[in-house]
Amino acid sequence: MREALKLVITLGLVAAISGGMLGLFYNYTMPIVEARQMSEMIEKGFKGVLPDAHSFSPVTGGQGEQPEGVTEIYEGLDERGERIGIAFEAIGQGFEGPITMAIGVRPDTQTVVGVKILSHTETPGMGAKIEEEDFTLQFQEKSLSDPFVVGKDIDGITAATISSKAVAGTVGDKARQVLSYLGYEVAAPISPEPTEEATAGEGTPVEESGEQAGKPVEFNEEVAQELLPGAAEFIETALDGIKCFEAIDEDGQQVGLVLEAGGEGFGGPVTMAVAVDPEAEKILGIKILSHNETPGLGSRIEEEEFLRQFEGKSLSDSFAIGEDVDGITAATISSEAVAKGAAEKARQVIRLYK
Amino acid sequence: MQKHLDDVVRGLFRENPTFRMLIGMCPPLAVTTSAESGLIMGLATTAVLICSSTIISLFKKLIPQQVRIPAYIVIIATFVTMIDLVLAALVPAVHKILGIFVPLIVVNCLILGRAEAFASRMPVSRAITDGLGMGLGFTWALTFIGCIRELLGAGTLFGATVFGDGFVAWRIMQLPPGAFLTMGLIVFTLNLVGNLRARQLQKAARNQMKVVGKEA
Repeated sequence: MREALKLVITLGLVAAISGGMLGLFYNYTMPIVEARQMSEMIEKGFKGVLPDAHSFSPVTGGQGEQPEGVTEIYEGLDERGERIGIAFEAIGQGFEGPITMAIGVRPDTQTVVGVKILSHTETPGMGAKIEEEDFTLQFQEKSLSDPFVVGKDIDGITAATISSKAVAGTVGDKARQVLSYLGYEVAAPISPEPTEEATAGEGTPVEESGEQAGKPVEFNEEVAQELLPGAAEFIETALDGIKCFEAIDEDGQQVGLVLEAGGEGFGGPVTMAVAVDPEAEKILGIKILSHNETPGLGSRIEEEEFLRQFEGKSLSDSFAIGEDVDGITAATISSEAVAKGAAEKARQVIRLYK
Repeated sequence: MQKHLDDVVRGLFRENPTFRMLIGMCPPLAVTTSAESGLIMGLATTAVLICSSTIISLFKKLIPQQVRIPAYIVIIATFVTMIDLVLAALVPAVHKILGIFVPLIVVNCLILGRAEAFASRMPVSRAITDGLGMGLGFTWALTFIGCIRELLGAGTLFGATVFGDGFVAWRIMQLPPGAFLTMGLIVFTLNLVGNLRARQLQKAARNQMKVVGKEA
């Protein structure tokens, strides 16, 4: 008992002294840190995105709730103390984690004045390029009625579409939300026109040049045979309009189903043949039939190294890139098109088949 | 005094925590993307190591055997948090580079290892020299890995351009795989040299024996 008491007292003392020391240090350092963060925010962030402002002061209160993902709102004032613009800090979800940025907007002209990335954890050399002026300068003097869509009115960074989209989307959305929160009327964005790729339909992939995309392969028995080499015969069927091949072995036993699936890739639609085992609800194999992905990046979805991981994969898995599917570096969108496209269609067909 | 000097030198080379003992491997792999961050991380760890070793050595008789590990961890965590706060207040740029890895010094097994194996058995003066030696050994190792990764991965050293514009950066060197490659190759080279030297010594010893045998 005495022994146990000694242990308790020792640990208690150690913890108490430690707590006291930390309290002292915290009290001494925190005001310095907070003051610096405040001035740094204005110096590095807000001055850069609202260069005409003479001074800044925090804005409190607006209509309704402060927009989600917006942390600080300041107004930029000129020499006479009149508001010339709004600068705020917003957080968007990037590829690796949150991206914090300072955004300056001018309410009277409804334009973005400037954007500056304050912190992020994107992949060095790829997503990290969102920091560069080449990317952020294109938001300068941009009207809020623009759609802010990468590939339309915003040039994304090659091999970092998700990071680019995170910035572009956050800038557009949050700028509009902050202005309406502060009581300004905001013009609705003009929705982007449907892209050419999307209207081209599923069957005919857009081919920019003969070399760029792999030659499209037709969905036929040969493809089915390639995926299920053990089958002796294929019977063409249609399940709710979806063309399928039922694979039958020598004994007349059904060994699998081969169906055609598609997904929306980066450069356009991706089509593929998917072999499934309807009993076990598993994918047996995938073959890419046609795509228009970037050579060397998205085009690597054709490679066996990527496709092999789907063999034997249960359809009850989530098929999410980075979770149970290894995506191709710098080609997340293409990888996702294959994984999601295959899983969705296969689940649908199996449901119909049963 | 001789012992104290030996403590310092031992940590630098013969028992270098990173290259020879291979303990506390998280920072050498994670924070060595540049020479500067390696150096700063090393110095921060050295400071924690010296402070915690001193305190633990001072109070070694007062801390009961059964609760020594939690007590050590609390002492180490206290110093780490203090250093974290001081860095944040005085050198924010450095604090930003190291980020999460400063709090993670708490779980660096180098520090707890030295507390358990050395500081808790030795007089205060030797705990300090041991902490200094191990800390500096850790620091130069981190800086060295950082130099290699920065030089090959970005063509710069401590931020100054070394290779001209014609140099194509080996980007992988600054990504996590680069850390493993660098670390593996350094340990490989050191072991190779160590083995060769040991063999040479053996050979010399054997020759010596032969000579002695003949003379006899």
